[in-house]
Amino acid sequence: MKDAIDYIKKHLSMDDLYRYLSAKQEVPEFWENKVLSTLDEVIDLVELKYTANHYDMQVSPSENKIDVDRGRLTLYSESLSKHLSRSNTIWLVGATLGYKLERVIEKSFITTPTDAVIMDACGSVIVEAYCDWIETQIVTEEDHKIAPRFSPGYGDLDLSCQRAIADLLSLEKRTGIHLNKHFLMTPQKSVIFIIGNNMAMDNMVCNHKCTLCTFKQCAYRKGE
Amino acid sequence: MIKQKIQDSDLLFDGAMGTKLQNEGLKLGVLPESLNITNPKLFEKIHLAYFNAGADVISTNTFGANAKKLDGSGYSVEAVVEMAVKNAISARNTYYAQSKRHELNKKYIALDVGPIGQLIEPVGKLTFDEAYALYKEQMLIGEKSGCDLILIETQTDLFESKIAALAALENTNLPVICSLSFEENGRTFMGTDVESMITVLEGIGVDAIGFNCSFGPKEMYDLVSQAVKLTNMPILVQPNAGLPKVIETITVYDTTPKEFKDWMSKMRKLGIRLMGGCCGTDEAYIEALKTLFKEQAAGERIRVKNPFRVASYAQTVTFNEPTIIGERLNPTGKKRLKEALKNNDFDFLIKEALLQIDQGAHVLDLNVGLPELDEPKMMVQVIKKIQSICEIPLQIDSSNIECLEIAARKYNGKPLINSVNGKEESLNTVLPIVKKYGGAVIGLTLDEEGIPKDADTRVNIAKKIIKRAEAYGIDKSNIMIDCLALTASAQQKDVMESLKAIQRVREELNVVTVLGVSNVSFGLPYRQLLNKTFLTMALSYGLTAAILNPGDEEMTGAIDAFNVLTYKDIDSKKYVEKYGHIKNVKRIENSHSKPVILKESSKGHLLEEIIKQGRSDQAAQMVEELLLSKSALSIVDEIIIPTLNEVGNNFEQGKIFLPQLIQSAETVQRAFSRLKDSLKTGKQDSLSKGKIVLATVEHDVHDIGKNIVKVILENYGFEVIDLGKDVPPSVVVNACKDNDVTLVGLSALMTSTVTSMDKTIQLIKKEWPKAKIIVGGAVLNPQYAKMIHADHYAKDARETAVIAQSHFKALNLNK
Repeated sequence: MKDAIDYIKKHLSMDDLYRYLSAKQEVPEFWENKVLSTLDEVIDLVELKYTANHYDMQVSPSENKIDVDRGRLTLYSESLSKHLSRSNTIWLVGATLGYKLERVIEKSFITTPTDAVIMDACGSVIVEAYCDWIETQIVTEEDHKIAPRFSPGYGDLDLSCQRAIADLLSLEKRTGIHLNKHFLMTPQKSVIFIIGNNMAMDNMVCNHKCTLCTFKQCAYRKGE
Repeated sequence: MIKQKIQDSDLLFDGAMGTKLQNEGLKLGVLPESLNITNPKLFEKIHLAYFNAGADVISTNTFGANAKKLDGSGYSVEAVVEMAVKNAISARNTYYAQSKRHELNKKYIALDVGPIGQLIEPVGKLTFDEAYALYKEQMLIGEKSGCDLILIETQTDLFESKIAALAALENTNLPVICSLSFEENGRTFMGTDVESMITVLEGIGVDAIGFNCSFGPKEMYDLVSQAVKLTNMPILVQPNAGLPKVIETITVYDTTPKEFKDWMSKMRKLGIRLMGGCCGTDEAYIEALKTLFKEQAAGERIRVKNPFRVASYAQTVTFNEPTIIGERLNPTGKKRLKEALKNNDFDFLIKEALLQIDQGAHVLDLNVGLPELDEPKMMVQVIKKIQSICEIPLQIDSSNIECLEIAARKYNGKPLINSVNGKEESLNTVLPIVKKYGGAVIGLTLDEEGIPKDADTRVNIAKKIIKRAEAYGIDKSNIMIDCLALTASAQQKDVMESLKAIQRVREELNVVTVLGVSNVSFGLPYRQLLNKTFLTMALSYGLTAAILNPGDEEMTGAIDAFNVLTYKDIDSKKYVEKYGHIKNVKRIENSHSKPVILKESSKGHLLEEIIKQGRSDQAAQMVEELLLSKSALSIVDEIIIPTLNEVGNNFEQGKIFLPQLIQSAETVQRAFSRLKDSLKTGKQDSLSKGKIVLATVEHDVHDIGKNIVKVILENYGFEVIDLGKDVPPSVVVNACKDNDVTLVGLSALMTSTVTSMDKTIQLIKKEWPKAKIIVGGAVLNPQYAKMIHADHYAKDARETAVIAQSHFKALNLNK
C-alpha cells in the first residue's frame, strides 16, 4: 500500500484534477493550497485494493471477437479487437479506493460541499494514478509494449461485459466492488480495465483514453 | 450435541470448495451451485476426501444458493440446497461405511451460507426484509434437508451478517456460526473492526464467531489475538492458503500445508478449538490441521470480563470513563428539529448529528416522537439516514414498544435502548427486545409508585431491573441504571438522594450509571451553574455517562476537568490539547456580543463581498446585522441573488473555478439558514422561490452532478426535494404529485442509464404533465435531451439555476 501511495503522490495528474474542477485559468494561491491539502486528506482516506488476472487471449478480427482463457470469457467489440489486434495475452483488473472515501465525500456534501467537490475530483485522479501503479506491478518487460487501458463502456465494448469480468475476477470477494443491475460499480471510485501485451507502436496514437471515446460533447474531454 | 461441541470441543472444519471446483475446470457463467444437480458425484468425492483427511464438519456447496444469485439459472433454491445436502449426507454415509469406529467419530454437515451478492440499504438497494427473506428461504430448506448447523461466512457487511444471523436464529433450531472476512487494515470492506463485530454478534446469540478468507493464517493471527481478548465466545478460524499469486496465467496460493499448520499452531495456543481452511486449501491442509490437533491441545482461553459497551457497524464505545450521550436529536422543545422531522429534512438531522460528534459526543440519543408522525416508520428511516453518514453508536429513545422493537431490529449495530423501568409492563415488554437483539438498556429507577424520594428504594428498583433482566438471559454488563435527577426548585432536600443511589448502584450492584443532568436546575435562574456543579458531583459519586448537550462547553469542560483531577486523562494530555491555548481566562466573551458597527449601505456591500469571497463563517453575523434594517425577502432579492448571478457569470467566463462557485454557495447557505430563523419568529412570507424535485435516475449511482446542482439551486432560494441516486421513475412521479411540483431535474452520468432517464420522462409526461423537465449529466447533450423529450438541457448547475429562475418567473406571470 505504501509503495502505491508513494507512486500515486508522484505521478497523479494535477492537470486532470484542475480540469475536473473546471479551472480555465490559474487559480489563486489560497485555492491551490486548499486543493493540495484536500488531496493529502483524500490520500489518507483511500483503502486501495485491486485484483488482477493474466489470461491467454485470442482475437478473431473478422468476428470482432475476443476469446479469453480458451473460451472461459468471450467479448464482442470492434474497438477492443482492433485495440488488441497484436496481443496474445491480456490482464483483467478491478481496482478501487474503497468505501471510506465514499462515505466521507457523502458526508461532506451535507456539511461542506466545497470540500466534497474537491475530494471527488481528487478521487478521480487518484484512481487513475493507482491504475498506472497496478500496471507497473503486473506487467513485466517480456510483455513488451502494452496497450493503454481499455474499460467496458469505451468504444463499442458494452458495459454489460463488466458482470462476466467481475465474476471471472471474483471482484466482489477480492475487492469489495459491487455491480448493480446496470453494471455500475460501488464504490464509485472503482475501475475495471483491460490491458494487452505486445502492443504495436502504430496503435499507440494517443496516451489518453478520450480518443477512444465516442462521446464528443463530454465536458471533461481532453483537447485533441 | 454439535451445539455443545462448538462450545467446548476441538472441531475440524473442511477446506476450500470454490477453488477446488475451479481446479476441476468450472466454466465461467456456470453457477457452482448448479453442479450439485448436474454432477453430484463430484461433491461426494470432495466431501469424502475432507472426511478422510480428518474433518469433523464439512460445508455444503451452497455458498451462493439464494434466490437472487440463482435468478435466471433455471434452478430453484429448494432443488439446489436439497441436492447439495443430499450429496453431503451421501459422502458421510460412505465415510461411515468405510470407517470402523464411526460412532465415536461423528461427522457433521454445515449449511454453507455466503453473502447475497447485493449491497444492503443504505449503501445499496436491497432492503432488510428482502435480505432476511432470501436467507430464511435458504436456511429453512437447509434444516429440512438434514443439515446439522449453519455456517454464515465470508461476510464483509456486519449488517448483512446480523440479518443472516437473525434469519437463522428466528427460523431454525440449528446452531449458528457467523464468520467475517477482514482486510489488512483490520476492517472489512464495509468498515467493520473486530471489536464491533464481536460486540454486535455476541449479543444476538450466535454460537460462535469466525474469521475466514481474505488472506493466510499469518495475516489472520493479529485479528484472532485481538478477538480472544474481547470475548469468551468460541472462534472459528478458516484462513486461505496464504495470498493468491498469479504465476503465468495460473492463480496459486503461497502458503504450504506445513507453514499453514505452523501458524495455526500459534492460534491453537490462544485457545482456538474450531479450525479449517478457505480459498486454496485442500485435503493436505486439513490433514496438517488434524495432525496439529493430535500434537497440541488448545491453550486456555483468557477469561474476559465483559464491559458495558455498544457499537455501530464500525465503532464501539466502552463505558469505562465519563461518557457523553448527545441529547439534541430529540424534538421536545426544539422547533427546528420538529420542522425537519415533519418535512423529511434529513440533512438537518445529519448536520445536527455531525455537530454533536464534533463537539465530543460518544453516543447519540435518538428520539423522533411527534404525535403527527408514524414513530416506528420515522425511527427506521432516520436511523438509516444517520447511519449512511455517521459511524457513532445510537441510543434508541422511545416510549413506543413497537418503535423500540423495529429500531433494535433494523439498527446496524448493537442497540442501546432508552429505556426500561421498574413497572411490570415495562419489564415485560422492553426486556425481551433487549435480549432478542443483543442490546444494552438503560434502566430508570421508577416504578408504579413513581420516582422514589430516597436512595434505598431506587437501589431496590435497580436490583429488581437487574434481576428480571438476568432472568431473560441479559447479563448485567448490558444494563446501565439511571438514578434520575430531581429538580432542586421543587424537591431540594431529595437532590442528594440521586447521588447516593448512584454510588450504591456502582458499588453494591456493580453496574454502570447514567443521568440526564439538566433536570436538576429546572425553575431556577442561572441553570448552567447548577447543572455543571451537579454533573461534577455526580461524577464524583460514580456516574458513568451523562445525557447532555455536547455543545454546552461548560458541561463538557467539567467532564474534561474531572478526567484530569481523577487521573483518567493521564498527564492531562487531552486537556492540554483542548485548552492549551487558553491563558488565565476570566470570562469568555461571546463573539456575537460585539457587532461590527458599519453604515447601512456598506453592510449590503459587505455581504456581497462575503459571498463572493466565500467567507462562510461571517455570513450569519452579517445577515443578522442587515436584518435590523431590511426584510429577509429584500436581503435575498436585492443582495444575495444579484451576487450569485455575478459569481455564476464569473464561473461561466472561467474567471473562477468550481470550488470557488461552491464556496460562495456554501456561504449563501449559511446566510439562508439565519434568514430562515428570522422567518420562524417574524411574520414575513416564505423565502421559497419554488419547489424542484431532483434525482439521479434509476440504476445510476453517480450523484456528484446532482449534488452540485442541489447546492446551487438552494442558494437561489429554491426548495429542493432531493430523492438521491438510483431513483425509480415511480418514485420521481410520486414526489412530484405529493409536493405539487412543476419542475424536475434529472441527472445521468452513464450512457447505459440514459434509458432510465427516458423512461422517467415518459412516466412524468403521462402522469404529471404539468411538470417541466431539465436534464443534465456528462453523457447528455441538447440533441439527446430533445430526443428523449426533456423540456430543457442544462450543461451545468449554473445553467440549471438560470432555467429554474425563468421557469418560475413565467409561472408567476401566468398566475
